[in-house]
Amino acid sequence: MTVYRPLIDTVLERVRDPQGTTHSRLFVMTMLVHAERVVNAALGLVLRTTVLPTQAARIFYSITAELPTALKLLGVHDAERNLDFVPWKDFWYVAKDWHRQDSGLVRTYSLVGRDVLVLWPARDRDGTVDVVHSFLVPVPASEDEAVTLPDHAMPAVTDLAVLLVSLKGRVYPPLDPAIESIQKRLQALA
Amino acid sequence: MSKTTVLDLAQQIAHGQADSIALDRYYDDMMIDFQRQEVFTVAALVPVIEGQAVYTLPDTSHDVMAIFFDDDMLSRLSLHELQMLDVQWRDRRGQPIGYLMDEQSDREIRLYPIPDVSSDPFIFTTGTPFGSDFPRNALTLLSPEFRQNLPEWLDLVLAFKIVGKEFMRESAHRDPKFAGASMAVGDMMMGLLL
Repeated sequence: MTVYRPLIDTVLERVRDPQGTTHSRLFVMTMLVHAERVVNAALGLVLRTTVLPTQAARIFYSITAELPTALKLLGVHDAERNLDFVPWKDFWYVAKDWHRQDSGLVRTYSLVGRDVLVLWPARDRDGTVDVVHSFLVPVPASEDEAVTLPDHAMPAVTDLAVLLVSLKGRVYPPLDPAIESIQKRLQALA
Repeated sequence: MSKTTVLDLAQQIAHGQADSIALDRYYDDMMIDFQRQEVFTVAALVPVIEGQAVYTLPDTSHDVMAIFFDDDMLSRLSLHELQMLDVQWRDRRGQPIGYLMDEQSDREIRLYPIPDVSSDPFIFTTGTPFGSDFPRNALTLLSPEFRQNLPEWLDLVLAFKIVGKEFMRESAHRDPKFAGASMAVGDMMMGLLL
């Protein structure tokens, strides 16, 4: 189980500030947490399933309000069925009154922007669906807390954190190759 | 997340060199940019009054992605299309089938035809305005939402992007290399997060 402390040491060594005189350990830990979130959003390495209560005839759900730990929504299940994703603008071609249609079964889901989840058609009674999403890495209380992402993602996380901390120190690695290298690492993990 | 957190983070990244008033302004600009990108959206209900053609969007919306009258999704029409469709369009009454964005204000919409019924009262007994409590003949708007505070996972992206803008402008601490790198990293992270 990897904890934040050795990762902070690694990042500080790589930016040539092992004692943390230029960059505080707290700042580096913040960068690591954000790097974990970015990597998890890109790759969906740590997922959670949240039960979303659905209401009769309701089609729109606010993700910020009802799924606050959802970083990126990846799928919706209704009982044993995986719902298909459909771009919401396509519903109009199926039914002009799509936003008020209900049925015994929810068949598809969509996203309006990033924050409005559409479950279509609406269920004709209250129920639940399971929403699968990449998990929002929480801010740790101390350096001895375990990281959320698996160990094999740590090289990508530390690379990104090093880039962020270097930038703060105005020590510029050649930026394009650095970004490219992170993207390659992410592709290798995908 | 709060604006204060992002501004603090931006000052840390800038080693306290950034002008706090400028950072504040760039933060507000970023919020407008996010709205334009239709990242954060909202569904809202607007009451309809019989005989009233023009409706104002809620304060947090400055554009619409879709409008529904009662059950039906309305078509967005241009002035030219309306004139071709019906020369009496300004006075026509009936069940709305389309809408026109006001040319002089991006906060107002005009329904065509003018509604000949009012919506049911907005009384939400079960607390589900978009479910069982949906008031008949109401307008439902899907629109990009203007927010003062974005979710905390966007803190760092915002901090780097506003630092980029701050160090690009003409000032005693201008640093185009730092600004460009901050913007590039902010953009890269945003692309991965959204």
